[in-house]
Amino acid sequence: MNFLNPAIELYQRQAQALTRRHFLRNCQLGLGAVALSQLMEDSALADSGKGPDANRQAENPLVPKPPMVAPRAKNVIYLHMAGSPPQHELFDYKPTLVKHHLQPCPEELLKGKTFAFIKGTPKLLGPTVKFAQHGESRQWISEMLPNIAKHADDLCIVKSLHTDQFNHAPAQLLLHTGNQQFGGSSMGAWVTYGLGSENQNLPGYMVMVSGGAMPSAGKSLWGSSFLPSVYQGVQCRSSGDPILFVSNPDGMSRGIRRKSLDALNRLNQRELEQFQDPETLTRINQYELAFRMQTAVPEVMDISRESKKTLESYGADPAKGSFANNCLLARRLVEQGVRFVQLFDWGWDIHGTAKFDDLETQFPKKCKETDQPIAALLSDLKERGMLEDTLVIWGGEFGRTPMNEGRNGSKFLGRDHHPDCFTMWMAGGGVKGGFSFGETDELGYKVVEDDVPVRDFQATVLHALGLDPHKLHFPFQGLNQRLIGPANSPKVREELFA
Amino acid sequence: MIVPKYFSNPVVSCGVILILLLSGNQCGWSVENRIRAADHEIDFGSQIRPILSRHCTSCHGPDEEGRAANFRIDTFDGATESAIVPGEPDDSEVMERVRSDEEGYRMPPHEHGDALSEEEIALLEKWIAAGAEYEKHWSFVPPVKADPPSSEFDRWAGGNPIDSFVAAKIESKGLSPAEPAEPHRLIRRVALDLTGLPPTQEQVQRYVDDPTTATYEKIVDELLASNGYGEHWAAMWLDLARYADSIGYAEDSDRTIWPWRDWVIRAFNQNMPYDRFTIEQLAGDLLPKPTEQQLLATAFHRNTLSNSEGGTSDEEFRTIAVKDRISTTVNVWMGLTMRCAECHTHKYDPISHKEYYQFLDFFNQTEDSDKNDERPVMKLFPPEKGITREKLDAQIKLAKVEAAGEPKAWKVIKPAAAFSRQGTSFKILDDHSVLAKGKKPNRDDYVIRLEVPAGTWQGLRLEAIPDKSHRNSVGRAPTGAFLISEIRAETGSGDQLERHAFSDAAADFQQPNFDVKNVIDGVVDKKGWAVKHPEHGLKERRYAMLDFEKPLIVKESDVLTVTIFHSAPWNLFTSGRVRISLTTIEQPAQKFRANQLEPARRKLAELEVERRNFLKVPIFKELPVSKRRETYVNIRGSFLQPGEKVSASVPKAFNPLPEGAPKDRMGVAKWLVSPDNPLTARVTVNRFWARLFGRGIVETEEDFGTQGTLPTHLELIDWLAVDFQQNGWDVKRLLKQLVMTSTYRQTGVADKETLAIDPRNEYLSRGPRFRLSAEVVRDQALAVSGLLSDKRYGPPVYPPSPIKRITNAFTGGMTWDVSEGEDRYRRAIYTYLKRSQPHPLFDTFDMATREVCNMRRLRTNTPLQSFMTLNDETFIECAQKLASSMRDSGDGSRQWVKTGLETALLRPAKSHEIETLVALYTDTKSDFMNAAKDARIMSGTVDQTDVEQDQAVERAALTVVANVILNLDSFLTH
Repeated sequence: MNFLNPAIELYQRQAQALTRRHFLRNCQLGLGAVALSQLMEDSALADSGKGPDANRQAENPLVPKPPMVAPRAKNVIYLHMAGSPPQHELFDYKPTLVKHHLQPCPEELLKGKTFAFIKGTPKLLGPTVKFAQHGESRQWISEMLPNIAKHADDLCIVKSLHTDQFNHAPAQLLLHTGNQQFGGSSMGAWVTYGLGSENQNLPGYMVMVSGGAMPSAGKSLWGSSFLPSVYQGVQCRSSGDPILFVSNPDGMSRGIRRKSLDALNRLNQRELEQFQDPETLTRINQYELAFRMQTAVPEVMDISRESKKTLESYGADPAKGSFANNCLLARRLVEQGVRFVQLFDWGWDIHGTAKFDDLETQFPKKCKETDQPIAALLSDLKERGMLEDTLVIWGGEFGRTPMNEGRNGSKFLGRDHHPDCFTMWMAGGGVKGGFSFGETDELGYKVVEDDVPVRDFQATVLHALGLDPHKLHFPFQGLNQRLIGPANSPKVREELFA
Repeated sequence: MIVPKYFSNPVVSCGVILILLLSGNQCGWSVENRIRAADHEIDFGSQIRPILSRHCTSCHGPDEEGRAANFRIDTFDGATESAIVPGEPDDSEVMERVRSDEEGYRMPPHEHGDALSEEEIALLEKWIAAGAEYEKHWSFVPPVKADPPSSEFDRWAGGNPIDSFVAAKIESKGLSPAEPAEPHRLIRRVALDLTGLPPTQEQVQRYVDDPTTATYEKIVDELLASNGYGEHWAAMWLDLARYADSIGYAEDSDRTIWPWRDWVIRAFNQNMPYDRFTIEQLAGDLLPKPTEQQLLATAFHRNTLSNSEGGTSDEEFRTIAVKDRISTTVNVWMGLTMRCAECHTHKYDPISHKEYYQFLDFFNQTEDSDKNDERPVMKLFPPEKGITREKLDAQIKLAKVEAAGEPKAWKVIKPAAAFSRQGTSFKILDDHSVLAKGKKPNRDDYVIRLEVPAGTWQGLRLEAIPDKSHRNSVGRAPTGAFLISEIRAETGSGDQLERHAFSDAAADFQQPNFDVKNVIDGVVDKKGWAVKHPEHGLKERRYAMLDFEKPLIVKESDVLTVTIFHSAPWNLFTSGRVRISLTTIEQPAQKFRANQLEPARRKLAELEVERRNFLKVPIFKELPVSKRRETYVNIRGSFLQPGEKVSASVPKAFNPLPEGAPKDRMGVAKWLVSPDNPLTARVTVNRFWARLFGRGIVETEEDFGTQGTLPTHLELIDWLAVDFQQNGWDVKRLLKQLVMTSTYRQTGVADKETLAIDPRNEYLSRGPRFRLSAEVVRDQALAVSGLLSDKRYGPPVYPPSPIKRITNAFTGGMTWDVSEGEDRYRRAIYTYLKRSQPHPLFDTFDMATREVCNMRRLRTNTPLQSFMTLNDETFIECAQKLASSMRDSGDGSRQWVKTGLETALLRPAKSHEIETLVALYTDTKSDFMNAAKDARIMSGTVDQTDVEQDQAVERAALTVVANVILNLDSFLTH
């Protein structure tokens, strides 16, 4: 295209760079400067005669964008233990609770409280596992996590998170989309929206699910909602096509696909010449991107390319999907420059109504399934020098009670949902390793020191990536929507960074 | 502002600013206003309010609680109390503050946002100097019909008021209207826009032969009268209504609410006036003597989510649903968002925290309360059956009398014993049926021994009976299904067994591809008889009738051994409870098909099935006065923290409830469609406009408040709004009015000059051109390839999806059983919509999940979309079907390719298109000649032995060509 007016050409380039809608929004955001600099950069590339490659870059709304503030991490691997693991058996060690094991819960703790399932006066429940101190940092970690414990000095354990939702779906939504009701955009979508992604042959935000069920709030946890759908998490599946429809239909070779795309592009090019519609140009490039993804996706998803040693260290088995496989895939994706990788593992809702959700059978099983792969992931990232750029996050959507739930007089041990305190940990990405933040009371019932509302946690993650949580916004329905919600109270918790 | 060095030339840098401003139009900063600001008067609405909204009002606005320094700047009184002195910018503190760079003094504070630009400061100064006049936000003032302006393009506008408004704007921008669209393209565009389907070849040809307005109008009338019209526009409404076939949240189990979806389709097809459409959906139950259809209409607001997760508070989720209803109501009809006011007074629009709960009180009085059984529900017979409960009862009464007088054809035979090969155990019940229980082997054969009395028996009947021990279903699979592979009948015992073959079989119901004749084919294999009914599922008694090849003659009595084989390809597909009968009537299967076997009993049974299978659809029901709920302000939005008690009223900033309107939902509905309501008509015409032109006159369809975009054509949207109200809220009339305009009929081709001035086509100086919606992308491909079913209404269907199994926490989830027959090829609106996992078509093509009201789909252009239209099973089937008709269209690849292009695009193929695709065909064909198996697969002829290999190769290559055609930009674009 050869426009006489450079300003118009600039506009056209812009229309290519982002969907139009997106740009319009962008300019309102204080991200305007970002978009602008991007725009200039693309023009500069075009001017420097780099030709089609520069163009190709320009047409993808996932092009990397400069951070708003100095970043500490480039990528995120978020391990969500759906259902919410019991902190009293993992990281929040409460010797006092051991002493009061199976004694009735003091009434003053129950006053004015509602629980999801607990009725009447429940009994306190001491941790069902042993704890020991690990690493130079002497952090208390459960015997259930012998491998993760070896990384004690890498972990920044936050024991004082709290939320205001005590049902799974709303709590998960609040944590991941900033809104306990449906309709918010997910953290991963915000991050890719703000930063783009480093690899243009893969989606910028990828999600994997294990444990046999979707998390309660379903796909909305990685949805884009009001943000353009290009930023939504793309779920990779463990059977069939890793990304929907990535494979050519049966009977069509890659060679034939190439020829058909050549023909398609040729015809679309003519259409572009006639109508001058920038969307047509974008479409041509999206078909090309799709073609590249057809190679890139199966390649990156094929863990059998890993050495036997690596597979063994994760406990991964290319033949069947598992959390372990997903951990290994997470590393492969981040290695390829995928911005935000999120794993949801179902099965942590340890109520103690039966063997399938109790502390003595199900809980050790889930620990066993996840301990080795998570530890392997941390080691692997470290060995490859990736940990410092990758923020690894582990946690559930809320905490669990220090009391035994005992639903309908159940003989199995378990804990009810508890929004007032829970534990998450982070590693890599510039956080303080071997560090513990926040304190709960002696029963692990409520936060007594350095409380971290989930919105602070969200602000902190965005900040770690170089985004300003207060400024990253998107106008929708009369508000400048933000991940951290409309109030200005959420704070970046600088204390967590090294 | 960063101005790059290569734009330092002043002339060019002006261009840069222009671009930035164009793009920043979100807050109403059109270029025009900026330029005007330099030397003309100030317009508060387009120039000043956006500055205040963006920088000031979130702390100095209507929200008292959040207000800083007890100062508000959004009203004249507030602003002039201290900070603004009208006429005296130099004495106005606000000017000092915005100019200051002193930390703590400068406004807005650093942490809140950037300082005002020089230009914004200059505007503020001028505005204060001119007297600092405030105006009410444009959309809060009722619209008036202005006289259409005249311009140099009056001839083009031809006296059409809409075109006159557009022409004046075009003129003011130094643009000219574009040429009329090519006839082919115009007819395709208008058909896709009005019906979501391509036009017929005949319609296109008619207009090409006679491209007059009269012919065009005739075709538009045909399109508006076609059934496709309602299906297309209902799809839009479903987004607003957050319609889905499941309840949402973690469990996300089924919800029967599709009859409401059909109600919407009918309402559009019958052109129900929009005011009535509003009243029936919001308050149909409050109409005097509401009809069944009016009650059904209220299911609109029962599309809210229900949470059936254990441990959840019904009241909490009821409250969430009620809040969603008012958000949806205000958003859909008035284009405003109320949600902010749930927790605090709205920071931008005039809705206070208290007013939110006063408004909520209207909707707080319905009986539903997040119960697992969704009550209250209405019992409904699908209206397409044209039957009511009363009619049915009368018919059943009659049928009973007739059945009683009919001789019985079948004799139930008492079993002596039943056993199995793989471990199922049995109980023989009083009605002589055999109930399977105990161990559940994946596959098993049931052997039933019966004492047969003397007689000449001509046929055997097997009844499959639903039982409560099998979840009221006929089979033992988790879904309630079974598959009987074979039925064998033998007499005698030990090595004296004599097998009695069957010659014919019939069943009262069989699934497509699971023909009952499979059970008599003599082979125990995976093929068999299965009975999942599209409406009744597996919960009705079914029977199979088998004719003995030779009569079974029993002199005194004999032992008959009936073996029922279950060897389905799936585990656990065994039958649950069965009963055997015999008949002396010859050829019972044949007679059954001819309806000569117990016709009266059969009729009665069918009627009873129908009566049992009425639908239970959630609807609105107002609580009796004695049980009305009290409504409280929820402090910070929490239902656990009730504040002041409030009673129903509408926000003060808008028109009051119409005189005589009741203080309930009916009153709200009438308030919305009252001529005094400033927003409803504007929001509505804007929505229809946006679907036709690709963007609303107000781009933020969901936000007509102070944070939304300003209309590109203010007088036009007002004219349309008033005209729409004055003409009975007639939607078809409105749409016809819009598509008849010269504006709509322009070509989408843009010249460079036009692109330079109006890159986004905001001024409508060319025709609309945009990518089709999710539904239309699919429906169009099915339509042009000849696969589309025109079956209307009814339960949702399951077209092919790569997601075979949907898992949900706490429940078993669901298996996506792909529909058989034409249900595989229905329009997308009939696809089962699971909230937690919609069919990938929808989220790939920008449909937001159906959890909350979605006013507008943000159009994107992604590689995942390319994957879908290139590789998805349905799109490949379309390509195969199209390829097959291309090949049947004449001789030679040129002709075939031409046919393909013209069938899909509905315009003459161009020579370069034909050449490109013929080359692709030739090239691909030689590839397939060396890949025989691929050719078979690609052409979809693996099972068609009558298709020769040469033909398969040609069809494979043509499938590749068709696949390209169905992915052309011009195909995916309207």
